[in-house]
Amino acid sequence: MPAVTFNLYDKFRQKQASGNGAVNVEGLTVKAMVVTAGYTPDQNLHDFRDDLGATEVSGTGYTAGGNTLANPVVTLSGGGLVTVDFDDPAVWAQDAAGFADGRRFVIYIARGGAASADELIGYSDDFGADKGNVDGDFSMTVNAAGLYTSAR
Amino acid sequence: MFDWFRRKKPVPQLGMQENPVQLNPSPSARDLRNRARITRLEEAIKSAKGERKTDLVAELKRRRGA
Repeated sequence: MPAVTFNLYDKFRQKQASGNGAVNVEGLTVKAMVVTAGYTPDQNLHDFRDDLGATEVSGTGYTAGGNTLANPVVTLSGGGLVTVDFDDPAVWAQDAAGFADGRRFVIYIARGGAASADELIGYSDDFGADKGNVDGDFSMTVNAAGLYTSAR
Repeated sequence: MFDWFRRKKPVPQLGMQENPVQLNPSPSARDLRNRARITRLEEAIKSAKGERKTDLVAELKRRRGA
């Protein structure tokens, strides 16, 4: 049950800060997809899902595009901490014909069309080894403190 | 002069702190997370107003029932 570092893409932070190209995470569909070691994130330059190329895992129990992080909610604490949080994506159930080469999660806005229109939000660090749903259920949970926060 | 520097407020920043995600979490880790989320919502509701407050209350009810 390892914790893996989550990283926001710089372009996402830039858009949210400027408002130019900013997205309403509470009003759009956010998904977590699993990619192979073939994807090398460029935190500074990658901004849309087509930057990932053909690196998504595939196998029984995994739906292309990944699973939804439902019920997004952005809270503000009395101390001024803004927290962006979601439900966890549904578990990828064990299947002998599943995928076994997952190396990281990528979280993005799923607009339902071309990958070039789906804004990237962030990605996890490499899992350190290939993971998948062949030997058991595969799941991810968002941090108890939220996916990301902005302090006063 | 030095007092002026000490009194000067820091420049506001829009820093974002990313939090680690958990791979294949245990049931106890999920429980811990759900409790943290409920606590956070309860605090947010205190300062929320209008439609925003209504939305947060609905979300709190949903999560308490989860």
